[in-house]
Amino acid sequence: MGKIKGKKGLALILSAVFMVAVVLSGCSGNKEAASEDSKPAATDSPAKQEATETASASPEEKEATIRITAQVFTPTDEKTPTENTPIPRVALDKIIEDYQKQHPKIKVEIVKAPTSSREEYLTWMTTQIAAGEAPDIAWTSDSLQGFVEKEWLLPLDSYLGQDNPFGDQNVTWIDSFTNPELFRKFPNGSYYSVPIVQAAGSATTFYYNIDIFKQLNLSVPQTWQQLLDALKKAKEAGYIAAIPVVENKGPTLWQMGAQVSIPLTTNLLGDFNYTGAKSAVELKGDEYIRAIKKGIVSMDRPEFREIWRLYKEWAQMWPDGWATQDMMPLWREGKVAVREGGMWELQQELSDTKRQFKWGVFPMPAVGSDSSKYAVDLPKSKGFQKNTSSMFDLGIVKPTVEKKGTTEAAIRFLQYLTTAKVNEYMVNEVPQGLPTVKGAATLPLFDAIKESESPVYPEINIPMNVWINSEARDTIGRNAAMWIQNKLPDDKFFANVEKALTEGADKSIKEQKLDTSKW
Amino acid sequence: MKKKWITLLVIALLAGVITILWRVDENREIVFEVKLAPDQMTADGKSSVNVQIQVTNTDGTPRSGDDLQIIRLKGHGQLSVSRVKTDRNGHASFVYFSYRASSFTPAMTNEIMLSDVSVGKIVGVYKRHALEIPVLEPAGEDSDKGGTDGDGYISLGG
Repeated sequence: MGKIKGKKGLALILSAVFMVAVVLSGCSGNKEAASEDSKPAATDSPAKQEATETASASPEEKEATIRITAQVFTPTDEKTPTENTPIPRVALDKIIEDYQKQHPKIKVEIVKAPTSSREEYLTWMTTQIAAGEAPDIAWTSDSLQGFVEKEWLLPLDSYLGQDNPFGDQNVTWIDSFTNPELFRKFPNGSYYSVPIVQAAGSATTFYYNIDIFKQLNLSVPQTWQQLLDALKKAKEAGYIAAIPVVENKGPTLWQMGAQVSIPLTTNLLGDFNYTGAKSAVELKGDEYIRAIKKGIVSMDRPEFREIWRLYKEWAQMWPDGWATQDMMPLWREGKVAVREGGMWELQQELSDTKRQFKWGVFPMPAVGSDSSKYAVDLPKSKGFQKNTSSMFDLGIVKPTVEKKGTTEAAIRFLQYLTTAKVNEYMVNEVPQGLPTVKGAATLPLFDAIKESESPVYPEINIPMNVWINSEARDTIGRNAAMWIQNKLPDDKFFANVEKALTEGADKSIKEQKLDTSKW
Repeated sequence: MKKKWITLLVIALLAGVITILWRVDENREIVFEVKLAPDQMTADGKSSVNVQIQVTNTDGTPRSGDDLQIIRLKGHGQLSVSRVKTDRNGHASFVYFSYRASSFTPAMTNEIMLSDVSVGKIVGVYKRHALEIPVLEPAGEDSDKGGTDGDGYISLGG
């Protein structure tokens, strides 16, 4: 009993000491924060309207309230920088304020949606759509395919073919972007989203420990084989060679989109490009679905088996437990040679003061002839490559705008967001990528990356597209995770991937009512 | 009953000690010396200022290993980092990038706050220093940037 009381007393003392420390910390922070807060915050209201972004309200403009959910661009509650909120988001608030001044009949509201995971966001959108409460404009997430399949998004083709009333009226809205390849064209030929952010170089990249590379006399890899060779040396030297990004306890398969696939499929392009398109923009959009149905994209082909073999070699550089354990502490401790990552992490990485080693980034190298007899050697160039996809898109939510009659109002606000000045202001507040509109300036923060050399992929290409729909991605991802860990034999794995792609293709044909007669 | 009073007394004593230590740290002065190179920049979206900091105690001894949080209080430039650590000589540095002037982001004096979060021994104490970076209307030429070292490694940090 005495021992118990003694323990109780000690716990009480420790709790009280802790509470006092917490309170005093708060006092110390708040006292000076309060004195900082008492200074008038800088107001950055526009000094003057600039002609190209002031398409004034037309007399026919109806009163409307449009709602937008903008994920990472959602303004923070805290508007003034503090230690707790060092980078408040204010851009979208100011953009809306500016727009509403020009269009007094239009009210724009920001809707906060869950942002911690894609799955949570999708669940939220599903319930909002079902309840008739979804916003008019929404982030399309990484599941653009899923949004389109569910008919949540308004096709934008007719609008993209007209000028942007807020921008240069000598070009169509689609041509006001840096390049049309940023727009994802669906197999039915339609566009359903507008790109807002594109990658600075590449959205995904390799972060590497320069100290380890220097110690082992390793050069920055220029090909996939050189990457594997470097990782093998790091592993033999006792380091963790590489750590991947993990999605749903499986690999991201990012490299399937380009690095390990495109160089291996160039000899199939003739059959793939059945309309004879001269550029990516001319492609019909259904080429990949057709290629699956015609066996051009098939796991029975040696080229595609090579793609997976080369991916597995990379995966086998990962440490045990990669799928379930957080490996980032090992990176911070300097035990990892290379880690898979994205440019959205750049500033966070730059600000990590616990890390003691020199680090950098290098573009993911492509497979070359040193890896496989099926691979061609792609040319390289310095500077930001032309992106063929975007990092962040917004779309018009069809069920909402049709119900509320706000299609035109939502389109106009989206057009306003994609003028050079507004796109630049909004995108550059969040240092993860580049604006997508011509004339918008990029952040100098990314300039060092311009020094790196990246592979130049052919405009028309055939990746190992595991993202044809969400079911295919999930199935292939689960199978890949098992196969990488040697829990699934090759033949079973390839058969499962083939089945997922074929089923995905059939679903696309049915849901998008694709005309296969000319295939 | 007696034991209860003793426990309360011990708690009060400990709280008092912590409060005294906090007051000592609160009243501790540290010195920030800041240099800008160059001492201003233009709102051209290209230029930048290297901010060089030295943090010392009042007796001039450098404060090594201090974590400095960097916050942009006013303006529209871009910080290269949001935290830096002082070296053995109390030095740290970061780059502040310019932005392009527009109606949303006018040229104006930008203000940065440095917050040393390593001063308190037991309880967190922030020691702050604000600095101004003049940002002028654009008139100059583009500045060139590159990040390669002699071995071809593009180092971004460390």
